[in-house]
Amino acid sequence: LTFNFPHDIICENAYDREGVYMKQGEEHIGKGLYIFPENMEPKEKKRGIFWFVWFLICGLMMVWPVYQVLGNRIYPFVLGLPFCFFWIILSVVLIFLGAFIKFSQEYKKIGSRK
Amino acid sequence: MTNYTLVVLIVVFTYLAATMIIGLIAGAGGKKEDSILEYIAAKKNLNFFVTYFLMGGAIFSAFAFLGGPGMAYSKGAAAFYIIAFASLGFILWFIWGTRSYRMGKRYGYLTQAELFSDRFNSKSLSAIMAIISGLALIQNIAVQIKGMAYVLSITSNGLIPFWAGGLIAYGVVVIYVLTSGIRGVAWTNVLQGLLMLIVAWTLGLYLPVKFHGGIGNMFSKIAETNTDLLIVGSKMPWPAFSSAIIVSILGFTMWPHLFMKAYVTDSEKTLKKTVTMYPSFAIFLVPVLLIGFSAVGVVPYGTLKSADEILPHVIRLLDLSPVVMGIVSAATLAAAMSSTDTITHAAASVYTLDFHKKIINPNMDDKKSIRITRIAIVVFCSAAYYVAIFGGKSIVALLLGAYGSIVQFFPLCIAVFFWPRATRAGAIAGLLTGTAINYLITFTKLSFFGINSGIWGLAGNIIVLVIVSLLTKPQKYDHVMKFVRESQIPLETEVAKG
Repeated sequence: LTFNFPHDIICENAYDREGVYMKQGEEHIGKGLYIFPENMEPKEKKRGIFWFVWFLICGLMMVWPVYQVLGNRIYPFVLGLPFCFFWIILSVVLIFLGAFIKFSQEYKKIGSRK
Repeated sequence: MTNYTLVVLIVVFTYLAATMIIGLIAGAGGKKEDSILEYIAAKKNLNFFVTYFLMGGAIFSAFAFLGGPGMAYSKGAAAFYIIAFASLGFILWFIWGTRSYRMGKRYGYLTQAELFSDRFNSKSLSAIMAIISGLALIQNIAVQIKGMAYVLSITSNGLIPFWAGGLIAYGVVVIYVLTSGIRGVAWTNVLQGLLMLIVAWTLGLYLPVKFHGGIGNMFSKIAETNTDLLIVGSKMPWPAFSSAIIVSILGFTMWPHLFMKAYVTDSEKTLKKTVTMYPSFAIFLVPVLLIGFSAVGVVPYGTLKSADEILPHVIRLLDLSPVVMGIVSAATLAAAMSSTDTITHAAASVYTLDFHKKIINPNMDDKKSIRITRIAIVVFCSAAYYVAIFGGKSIVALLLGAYGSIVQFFPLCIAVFFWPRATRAGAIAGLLTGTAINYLITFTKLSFFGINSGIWGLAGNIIVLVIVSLLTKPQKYDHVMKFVRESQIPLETEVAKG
């Protein structure tokens, strides 16, 4: 088992702050978080961020303040449910949908490589 | 004993017998090789169908038919919190579930603490985690045993006393967990899962129609008579509601019995498929809440000793056939049992691998490990049974503190995969700080703006983890980077297979 990685590691914190890649020595562990694989394609990275934001929005829909401002009301009734109940179910459906699309994206890609 | 009670009990005991038989048969298939890998992780090859119910059984606990409807009935919209965390809690598994799975296949981990203690190179971390999870799991089992005992004593009209009810239902669980290990747990969960789903949907759709002439009518009535039930913020303040959701989402996959399931699936695809399908269980909780809402206006407030009794109470009001009552009771038992078996199994595995093997006897062979696991099961279940039936206040407080401390594993999990600078000292200090804060708040009942104690624990945990890690010498480069890099790469065999 060998893994060939470039030795310069992207240190996320330093990258964000100074806008430059910080070159690290092989034995030096950066202080930041190592979120993405070093050789990740930009397209895949964007996709990862997109899904993170998607699920984050779904999560925010269910807590203060988004839920309080937008969802926390009784009328109008939707499908026989008070709006707040519908709102929670809507966020679950969005989560389900997101997970489903994310899954099929990933496995379609590997299938087509073959 | 009346005929009614007799019929109910016959249905319930038929269910118990069926569960036991399935549990025993499931184990017989995979038992040719009596290894610890088989006993704890089914040789790491459970397929999607079984894994799905295995994970689902964990969320449909006694809460589903007792606490859930009770919460909707008494607190109304605050009960949405269960749907919220059940839907999103598992999505995070996309991030660290897959990573744990890959590391587990490469390095042979069977439990959560094996991964963490390998990363931080610390046996004491493993022991600390084993103690916290052990106590938390006992608390969790005790709640389920109370639920089972309660159902049996109520359906038998008091003929089966509380202590015996707990003993009978939990006895069945212990027998199939002891003999069949994870396979017994998995296959009984399929039966229990189907039973719960059918009963939950039937009741959730039937009761509103029966009592109010439809779901829409029911909510219109509630909106007129009990407006605060449909608004979050009146029965449960916002900070409490939101922080409970956040802590539950972050802590959800940190439960050892769920985390361990990363090591039992047969492929990364199965794992991701399980995550993808998991929000469906949140949808299955909708009828559970409808059951609770349907009782509003039918059962006046103050007539019940505890809101958890609402479902059995409503069923009795309806004067249905005893067979229906029996099936509902069986489904409630199924919900409690499908959580108990997973948790009992996990608790014993955690003890054997993370405590006994690390601290007491590192050179255990497979036969010995299984024997220790089986002894641990008996010890754990006796402890949980004792707590459930006789538990005093101080014991309950001790266990509740541990229960809330599970979410404190979360920063460690992030550090393992994303923050190589974290050190052993930082990890242990952070975990201890977070747990201590959580205990302090649980014991003193201090409440800061009603925010969940787990949030304060997490804040302290993360601050200490970061500061202590930066002050101590980094761990070996190759070692810590292994966990960042190798966890990002799918297994070679699977990439080739496609």
